Amino acid sequence: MAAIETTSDSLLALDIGAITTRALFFDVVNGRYRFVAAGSAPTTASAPYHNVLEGAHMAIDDLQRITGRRLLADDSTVIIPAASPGEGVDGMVTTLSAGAPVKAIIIGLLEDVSVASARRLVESIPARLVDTFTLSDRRGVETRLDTLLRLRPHLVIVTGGTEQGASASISRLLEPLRLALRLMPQEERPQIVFAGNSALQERISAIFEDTAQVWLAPNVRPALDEEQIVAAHTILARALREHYIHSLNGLGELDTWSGGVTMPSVTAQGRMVRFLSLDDPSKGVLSMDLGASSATLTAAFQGHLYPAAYADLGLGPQAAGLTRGDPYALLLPWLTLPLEADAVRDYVFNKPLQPASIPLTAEETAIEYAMARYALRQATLRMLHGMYAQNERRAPESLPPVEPIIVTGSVFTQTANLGRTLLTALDGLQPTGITTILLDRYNLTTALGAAASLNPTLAVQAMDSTMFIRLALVVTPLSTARLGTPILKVQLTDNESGETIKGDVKQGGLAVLPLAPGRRGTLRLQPLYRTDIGLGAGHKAAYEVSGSALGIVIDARGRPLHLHKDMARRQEMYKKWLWHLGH
Amino acid sequence: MSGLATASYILPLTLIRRERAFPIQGRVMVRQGETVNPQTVVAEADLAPEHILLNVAAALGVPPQKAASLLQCQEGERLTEGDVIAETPGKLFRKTFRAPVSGTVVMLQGGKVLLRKDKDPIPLRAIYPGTVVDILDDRGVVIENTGALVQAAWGNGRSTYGVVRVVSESADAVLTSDRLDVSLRGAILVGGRCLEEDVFVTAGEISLRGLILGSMPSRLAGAARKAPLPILLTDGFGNLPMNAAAFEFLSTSDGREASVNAHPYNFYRGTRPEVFLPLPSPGKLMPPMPRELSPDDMVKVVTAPYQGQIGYVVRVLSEPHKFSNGIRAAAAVIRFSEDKQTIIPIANLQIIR
Repeated sequence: MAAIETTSDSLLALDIGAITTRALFFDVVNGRYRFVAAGSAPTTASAPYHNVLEGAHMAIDDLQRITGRRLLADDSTVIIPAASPGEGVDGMVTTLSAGAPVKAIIIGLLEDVSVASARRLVESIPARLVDTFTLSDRRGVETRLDTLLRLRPHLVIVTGGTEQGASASISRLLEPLRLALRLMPQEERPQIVFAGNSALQERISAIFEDTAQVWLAPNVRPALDEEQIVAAHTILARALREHYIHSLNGLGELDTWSGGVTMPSVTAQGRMVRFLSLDDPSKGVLSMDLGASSATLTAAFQGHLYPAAYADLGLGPQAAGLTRGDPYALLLPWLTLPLEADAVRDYVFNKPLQPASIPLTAEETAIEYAMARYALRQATLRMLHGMYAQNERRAPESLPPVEPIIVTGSVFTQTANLGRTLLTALDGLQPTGITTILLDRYNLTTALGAAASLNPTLAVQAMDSTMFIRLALVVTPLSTARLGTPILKVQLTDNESGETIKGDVKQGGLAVLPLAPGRRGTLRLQPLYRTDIGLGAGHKAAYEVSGSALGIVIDARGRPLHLHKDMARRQEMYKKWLWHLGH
Repeated sequence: MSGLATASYILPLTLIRRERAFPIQGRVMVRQGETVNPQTVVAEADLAPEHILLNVAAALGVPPQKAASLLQCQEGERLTEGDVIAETPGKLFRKTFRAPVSGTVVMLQGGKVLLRKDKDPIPLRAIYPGTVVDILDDRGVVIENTGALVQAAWGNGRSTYGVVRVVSESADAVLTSDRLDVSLRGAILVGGRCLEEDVFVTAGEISLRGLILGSMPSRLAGAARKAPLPILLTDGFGNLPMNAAAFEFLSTSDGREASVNAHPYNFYRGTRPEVFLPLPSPGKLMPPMPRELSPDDMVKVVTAPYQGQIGYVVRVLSEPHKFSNGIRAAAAVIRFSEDKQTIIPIANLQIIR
């Protein structure tokens, strides 16, 4: 057997979130790479520090305290490579979700073709699309020039022209940008990503040669019926790194320590999810990070990645976008307690004023988790819309089968109430089939995605199930039966004790079969009335299953989730479900 | 785990340095070291420039290269409407191309002229009285001064300068429109809570300069944003009294001059809405510095069940605390009175002094 090649042994992964900066340490333990410990500190991108380095130092300091390992030299730089046992690290990577979302403008030919693909490319990073210039745009050159100068985008994505397609039109569309760049001060010029007809790359580079940095990406729409987002996303991630190095003080230094391995969290997460999806071709993998700055979902199916980051759905400064409408009306389906409308509205409006604040009362906890459900649901629907945009049929409202689902984000990781975490994830994501829900308490998926570019072996070895809290194995039986009708017979036998639990699950219900972590069991599922557990209508199954924090959860509440129209009844159901999950 | 808490200062005497700058390039109107008053225009800029692209070659009926040689203006030159931009030679069939509007030539290229229309620039006033200690390229300045500072939770995006008048007898008094009359014209009013939109309407009608409130319901946010005067909430949305530290300070500031910067909290920049009352300092001061939470720090709680209450740090817990709702977080023991203390997440605290 060939020896495993590694380029780096111990690794420090720095994850700079909008609220928290984490320092994660990986090393070889008993011949295998392992996650060892995590330190954390508040992110210091904004006042009074205005420098992410401060938070990074504090997080690494915390990590030093926990591990007893000296990582910072006397001059406050990270000791790379490891100088002696117990001192320094061999490599470092940085991931980033801090910093204001970038303002983006799309310049493309056809609204329904290349521009539609460019929109999905913009949705793959935490960005705010502020305008779009297309061929059908009636605004003149002067108006578009003035718009560019007024909006001052950080990023311009230029698309258009299938391969061997249009070329003259896209050059004409670029005239306002060419003029605007000459009028903008150098430090305010946007990053330009060209993801159109590759035959035009040389010409595009020449147009902007003296005025801006152009990133040449593969054509996001190489043919009318073909879209390729991921290859362009990789280039876009580099442009984003460049933007943040210039706009976030201290990031340049961290990037130097990281040997240039600095990437947006969504990109790093996507790399890991894509890798995991190659393991089982029959199912995809999904990772979800609901943070203060954005809601990020990355799904991959047999290596095909769908990255999505929605900056307007972050739970912090944007309050999940709820202040644009009536927060009470939008959250009502997701509230687990009866609350005054004004109390809900006031909480949501106060959230952006104190984005890091933590709910303490039962009422505020209910609102916070309703916000999380709402944000996740919106993010899921948008991602599905993007995933199925190329298909003629309407996008489904439920996820296709994935295994596993990895969840992270402070709303999930800072609570010890795993039942509430699971129910929030199920309500927001609404998975189908049979899937394991894993809780990534330290956002290790992101760290390892970035680490893979430095040390692929570390990423593979360290990414084992012990890194995560195994929340539950979730079975979602789908049936058209009336509410209250038994739709699934279940039987779980503990392989060690032989103890058996069995029963019927009714349509609209949520059942829990406990099987503690470390235990093994046999799960038998017998659908009734052509109920589908993801194997086809009426197909029964038996599985060897592993125990988890909440055991086996049968979610028979329907897809999309059937919530009772009557508020009191709905909240009564929530109470019951949370009780089932041990709340 | 760090005990770093956010800060929202309420300080009777401190040194402030405040950036007053446009997000884009304009023109700075003052010099470093200059003393400015709140009305001083420190910079001006055209925030929404308008350009005209003039195709001289097409208008004169000549090739672009030929047109370039006929141009009679240069980049940076100011033109008045009717000024000659280009002219063909000869007398009998001479063609002249004139500026359609007044403006500045910003680019000459390929027989085309890009003209930026003349517009009245937008002035940026100092708002804070003080000394200009730094010039930020062509965008604005940094002003330094000493005085009292009350930072707040929310602002409606406007700013002003004027004399403080206190109309509320207590921190939780409800400010109603019948308390507002013309004798308050030009004043910055300190009230407790506001529950009705008509307060903003009356405030506009009698030309109040500004409103400093403890709280208001979020349903009034839209109306407050549209109000013609700065409105600032010290404690956020809801039905909360003004926090004791802010009220104690502001209620004893009747008749003093104040700058009100009601620009909303910017999470990414860390800037907060605030009230600044200039006051000479007897000695040299330093701006408040960020620090870890320490025993005896005065803090404000920003969420329920102690929202808006002022307390003192007893100690910072060395490990995360598990709260009754299952959430684990870095926390501190806070004393509200001799016989009342409790544990609160550090994320829910603001150091105020």
